[in-house]
Amino acid sequence: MIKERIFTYGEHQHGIGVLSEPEDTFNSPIVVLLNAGLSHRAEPYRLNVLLGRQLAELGYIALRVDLSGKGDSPARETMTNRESVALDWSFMKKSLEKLYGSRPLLIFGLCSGADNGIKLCAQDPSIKGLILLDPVSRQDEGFAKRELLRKLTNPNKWLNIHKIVSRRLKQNTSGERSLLSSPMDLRDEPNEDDMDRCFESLVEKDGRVLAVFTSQTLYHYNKLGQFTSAMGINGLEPVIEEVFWPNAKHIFSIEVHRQRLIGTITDWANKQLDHFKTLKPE
Amino acid sequence: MIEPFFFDNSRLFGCYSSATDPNAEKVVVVCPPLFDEYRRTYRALSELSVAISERGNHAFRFDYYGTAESQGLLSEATLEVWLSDIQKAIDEAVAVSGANHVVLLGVRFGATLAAQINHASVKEFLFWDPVLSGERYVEWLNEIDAILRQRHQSAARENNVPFENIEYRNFDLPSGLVTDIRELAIPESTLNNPDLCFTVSTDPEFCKSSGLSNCAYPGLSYDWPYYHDGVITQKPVLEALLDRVFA
Repeated sequence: MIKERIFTYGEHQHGIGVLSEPEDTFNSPIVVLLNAGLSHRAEPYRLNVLLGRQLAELGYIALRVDLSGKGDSPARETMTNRESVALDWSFMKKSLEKLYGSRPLLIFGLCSGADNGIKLCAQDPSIKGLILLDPVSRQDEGFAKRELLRKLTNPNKWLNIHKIVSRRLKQNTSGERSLLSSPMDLRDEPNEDDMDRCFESLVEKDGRVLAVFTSQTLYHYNKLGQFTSAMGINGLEPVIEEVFWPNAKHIFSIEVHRQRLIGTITDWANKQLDHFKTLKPE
Repeated sequence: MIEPFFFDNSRLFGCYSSATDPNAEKVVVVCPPLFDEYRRTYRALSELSVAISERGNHAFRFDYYGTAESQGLLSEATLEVWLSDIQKAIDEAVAVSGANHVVLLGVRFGATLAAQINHASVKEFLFWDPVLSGERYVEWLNEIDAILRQRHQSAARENNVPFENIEYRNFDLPSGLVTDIRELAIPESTLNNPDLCFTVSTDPEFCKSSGLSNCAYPGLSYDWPYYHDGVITQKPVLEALLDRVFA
């Protein structure tokens, strides 16, 4: 039987979240579920609530939380996103430490939540695990070749070649370009240094990562195992488990996909629970 | 300031925003929209509640059983339960605020639910793009599923990956709930009563075509019957709702 209670953090305790706790919280690692884009802490489609409760059933303490400016937490006007998230994180950690003492921490994040998770992990030794949905991935040597092959073998592309050419020509002659050339333009993604630091430190800490890639990432990720190999970090392979679902949409708008996702994450979390319990918090 | 808490024996989740005016007599109880519309309007309703409290009235938001932060699963939800949740939320809002004049603010199908409520403290109804017909609403939910199926199909084609043979449903709703939603509508006697009810509609034709005098178009349109990922932060709508609360 899990319990739930309100969590507050920040300068005036205005930051808001909800904790799902297992019956016995002794030695439980803590998973912090960050906002996905502009959605509030429960979303998308209540994913964070249902997942948080499942993780608590397994023995994790799960916190779904609104970062400043999202859901029910007030915005900070004078900071960059990176600064504000870092400050939120330091306040959250303080509040969590007050409640439970030092614990191994994991971050769950979709989209910008994944970006924030990587950036925070690059700076914080107490983050021992990441559950990332559609994180940025470096391209490995074979990426471009696979991408070309995918396009060349796509009957849909050949059937509509006249439309594609005409659209391209129209764009070139009109000088029009989409304001957002890729979905990544909307995100404050981690830089190369963040990526190296985060994943190198996870190897050193013997951390664990589950990374799920959907159709949204096809323009930078197109093969299972690409993320790990493209990072080029010795010892990363046993740390990361990758899942590639090119049929699923970015925010898991289909109930069947959400159920599959929750099942995959809880299986992984169950498998890793004892390992996380053996890790020192700092 | 938002004060979140669980109520009704921790069954339901609510957020209270206390009025800055210590003599405030009104509390606005928000009946949120359902399903994906709640995700898209959540921040707007949170900001609206803070604005209501800063201008001098209380606001109380809550999640229906089986949705968002409240307990339970959607598969266990019924309209009867949700209507009872609204009654409990009103009682909680009155108890926590001390105000005895309740404005029941319903958004989309939240308005359809709110319109069924008969509670001594409810003195006004305020609706934002109310769903007038449950029948039409269910059709629209089915349209969303069809749009999602079509989008997954064209993405599979575009990305050259096999199309999965699965149920393409945004939410797997229990059949009893769908039947009950179909049968619900907003009584004309409520909608048409200018002393009881006011509607803010983002459909530029709605006020004119429905013949309502107690209705306002805030000057911008929103395409509700079209599924997309965007989060709604419609300042003119929120201003129109605020104006009415403080009229």
